[in-house]
Amino acid sequence: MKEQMVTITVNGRQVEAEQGGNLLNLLRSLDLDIPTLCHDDRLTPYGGCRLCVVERKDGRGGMIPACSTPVQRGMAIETQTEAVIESRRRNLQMLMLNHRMECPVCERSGDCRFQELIYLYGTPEEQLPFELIRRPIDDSSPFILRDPEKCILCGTCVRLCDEIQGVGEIGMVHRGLEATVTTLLERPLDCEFCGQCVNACPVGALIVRPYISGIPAWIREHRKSICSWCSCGCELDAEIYGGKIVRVSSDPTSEPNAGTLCVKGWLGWDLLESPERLRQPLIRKEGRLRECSWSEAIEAVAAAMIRGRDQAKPAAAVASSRLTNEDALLLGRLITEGLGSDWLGLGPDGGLRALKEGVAPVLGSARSTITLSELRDVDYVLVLRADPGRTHPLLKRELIRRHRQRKLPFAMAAAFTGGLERHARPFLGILPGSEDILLAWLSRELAERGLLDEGLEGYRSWVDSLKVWTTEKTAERTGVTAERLEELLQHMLKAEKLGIVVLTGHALPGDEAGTTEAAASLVAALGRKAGLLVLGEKTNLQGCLDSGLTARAPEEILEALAASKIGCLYLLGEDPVGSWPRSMGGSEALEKADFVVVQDAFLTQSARAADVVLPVAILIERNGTGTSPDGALRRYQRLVDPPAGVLQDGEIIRTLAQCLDLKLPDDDDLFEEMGGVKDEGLPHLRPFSTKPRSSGGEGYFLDASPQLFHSGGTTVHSARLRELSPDIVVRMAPEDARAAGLENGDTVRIVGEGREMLLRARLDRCVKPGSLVVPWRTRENGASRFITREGEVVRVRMRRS
Amino acid sequence: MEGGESMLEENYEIFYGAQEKSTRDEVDPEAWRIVDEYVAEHPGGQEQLIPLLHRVQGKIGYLPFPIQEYVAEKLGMSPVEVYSVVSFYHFFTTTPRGRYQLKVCMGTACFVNNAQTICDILGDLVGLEVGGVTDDRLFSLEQVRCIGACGLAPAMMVNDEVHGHLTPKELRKLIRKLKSGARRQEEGGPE
Ligand code: SF4
Ligand code: SF4
Ligand code: SF4
Ligand code: FES
Ligand code: FES
Repeated sequence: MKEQMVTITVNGRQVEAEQGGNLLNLLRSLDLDIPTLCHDDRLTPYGGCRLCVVERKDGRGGMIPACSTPVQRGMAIETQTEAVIESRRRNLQMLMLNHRMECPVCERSGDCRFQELIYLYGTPEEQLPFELIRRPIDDSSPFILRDPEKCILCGTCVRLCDEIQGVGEIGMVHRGLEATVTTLLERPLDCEFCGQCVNACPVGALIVRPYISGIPAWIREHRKSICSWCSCGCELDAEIYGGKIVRVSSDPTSEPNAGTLCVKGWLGWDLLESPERLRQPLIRKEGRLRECSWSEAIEAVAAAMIRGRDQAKPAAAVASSRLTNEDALLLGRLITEGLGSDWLGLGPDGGLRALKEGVAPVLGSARSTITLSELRDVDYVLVLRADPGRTHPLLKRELIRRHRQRKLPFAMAAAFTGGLERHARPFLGILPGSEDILLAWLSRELAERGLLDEGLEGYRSWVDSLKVWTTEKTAERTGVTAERLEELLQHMLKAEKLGIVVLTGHALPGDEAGTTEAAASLVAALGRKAGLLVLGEKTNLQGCLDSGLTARAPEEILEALAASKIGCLYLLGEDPVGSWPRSMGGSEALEKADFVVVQDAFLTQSARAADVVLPVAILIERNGTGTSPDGALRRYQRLVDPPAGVLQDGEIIRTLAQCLDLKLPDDDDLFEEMGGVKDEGLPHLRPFSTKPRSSGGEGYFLDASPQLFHSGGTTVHSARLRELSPDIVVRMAPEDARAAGLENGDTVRIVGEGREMLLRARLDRCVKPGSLVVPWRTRENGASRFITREGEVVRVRMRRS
Repeated sequence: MEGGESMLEENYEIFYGAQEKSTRDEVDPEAWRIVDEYVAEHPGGQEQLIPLLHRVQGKIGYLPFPIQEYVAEKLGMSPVEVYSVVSFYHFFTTTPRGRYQLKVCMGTACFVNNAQTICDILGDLVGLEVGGVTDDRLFSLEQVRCIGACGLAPAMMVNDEVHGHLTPKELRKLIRKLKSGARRQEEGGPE
């Protein structure tokens, strides 16, 4: 920091401080207790409640709010004078007058900053004549109750929703005594349900309906863990009582998410108690799956594995990248050492292909070179392939926060949108799947300006291969105007440090390996100036990759199955029949296996076809470690126990190993083995090529990629998430609806590829005009019916029904 | 096809039932154009909010919610942010006023010059009580404080235009003129 240090006086003591720094932070760093109600470190200073007043004694005297006062040379501050205390007490009294004080029955009692301060400061003797202004509770939302009679108008919720969440669903309207926090026209909340507002409200004015428990705050146990819904890895703060989750929030000091969560991490946990969960092993007898004991199930599996080994038909395991590092390593040992097989792989995951086939060949190792937190401090970020608000909510919040609070811009290039495009500078609404061309063009422009490292291996032929991507041709193939391209380029040229982010997720159009390779090449050629972040779909992709679970591609395994080369197929959290693209032929291949074992929490379509089904612990029911995209280890802590009779992956694998007489090391020793990053070869560029993609034809682009409330297989088991995203809704841009004469709620028929679906229209200004957002999975098989290959671009028509 | 209407109904109502249909309402088509024009002429996003709202209200008399949402979209703000500004300032209103807002000055100078009578006559002419809007939304009538034209008392404003030294005869002429102007405009001619 170039800021100058100055001396000020605090309570009579000389203190060194940064000129222009925040006074509140300075006082707090001196261990002085300064009460605040409207201040939030994550937001721009507000200065609304005046609880943080301190007295200034150096001439320009008076009461000043510490939270919104910059430090100035020569200041003299007193924090505990009679006047300060009295002023705080008066401000509290003012707030109390218009607050429905009912601590004994309030949901936040014991966890309420207002209550705590009143307790500390007391109230003035004299009673002011004032009658509480009555306002009804807003109970129109299924998840958030808003109780304006308890609101102290601190504005934290409004500012969070705007500055960090970027939604702006609620606002402070009217003024004076009429002032209140509400939505436009007092409509029911129709927002992202991230919970930021609720978790930061200092009082009980915002209440989470599903977490109303009647269990006092002071007898709940607090435990921290990592949210395992997606690969962002937000830290959770769960309150537990009686072995159950009573409430979930996040601590404002948590990393990398600074106390923010998305709807899944906040509310999605009801899926743990879903009645559809498997609680007992199942075994096929006389053609039907029946419940059985663990020992019977394990013996049957071990027997099948040994039988295969003896008949020279090896066992194959396909795992989901949600496994913890320990469980992934154990699985590797079981298959290779216990069964002498090398048929080991992860399910189809765009992130895996991006890292293995896109990053590794260029940068030498299959990992990102920058972290989510480090993105905060680069000058410019280019996000490719998707709206992170839909696929990686934490990244979205980081981008909004950079942009809103520090004016640090980012660009987003994606075919489909989710609302973030409004903040992007610029937003490039490219034709589906043409991100690689955009990158090739950028690389060519930067190379021509001599900004790239020409000494890299393969540089010449790489640059030659880019020559064809002139601005004109790029504009034509990406559908982005030359002016927009230029705008992007100018931002890139200005930035001293750049971040390039490639997002992956199911049903995103285009080739993730090719796009990622193009991004990695550009990052390599930019040298220290740039970092690459590849975000996969599931929580521990990096760890599973580092644990060596990627010997075989899923296609290869299915092929071997179809050729009857595999004896026992062991599926951990993967569902080839139900959730892999149809063209892979999962269900046909499964039929060819001698014995199929499915280890899952739910009875998936593959499980229905299995010989043995083993119920397993998921998400926050597990202990272990994971690896974040940059290689850092993080600890998953079990927050609640899995249902009785349900084991964690590792426990099951260990039991199987015992049956095979295989000795497995303890978790701690396993850990040593992980070895971390291998190789680190020198960057190496390969000529650029792009696969032609047919996006011709007519009709709307079908957008079946993840939605915030609905990201494929797992979310459908959370009743809360299902309620937020009825699976019968097609979202469309208001202008498209207008052109088609449609209103909210009209029934429409979506037709394409000889198939059709009946859905209800929902106008959504976050949807990109020209595309229709259809849920990937519905009670039937949803948008996946229109899609046969990963990355395919599909067009459909819409008719009023 | 699958599911059937009834499932579509039920499932949709669970969450969206309470939400109203999207509206572009019966908003004066003029309003959308004003916004488009203004935004095209004045780049710069959010700083343009207040002048733009003034312009719209000046022309159509009030700020309908669909227009507030449209303004938000155009300036890259959230609708409720726009509404919080609208609700903060007393001079913005969200209830309709006439295309011609008749604002009779009730300041001291006008008051002693028979402003009340002027107001009554005007009310009779357009068939309105103070605070009302005609069914065709052509006129609305309100009383305001001194408009700074005391030398012309009794005075009034029609939208932004000041009319002074009012007499019953002038008022009749004025209203006739406004009515026929509106008629001509409807037929496509100039105002
Ligand atoms: S919000 Fe706080 S002060 Fe108000 S009733 Fe609840 S616990 Fe008491
Ligand atoms: S839940 Fe999130 S999006 Fe909804 S109002 Fe609160 S902060 Fe805004
Ligand atoms: S609802 Fe809570 S966070 Fe929002 S302004 Fe009121 S007291 Fe503050
Ligand atoms: S905390 Fe400083 S004014 Fe509220
Ligand atoms: S009193 Fe009417 S213009 Fe001043």
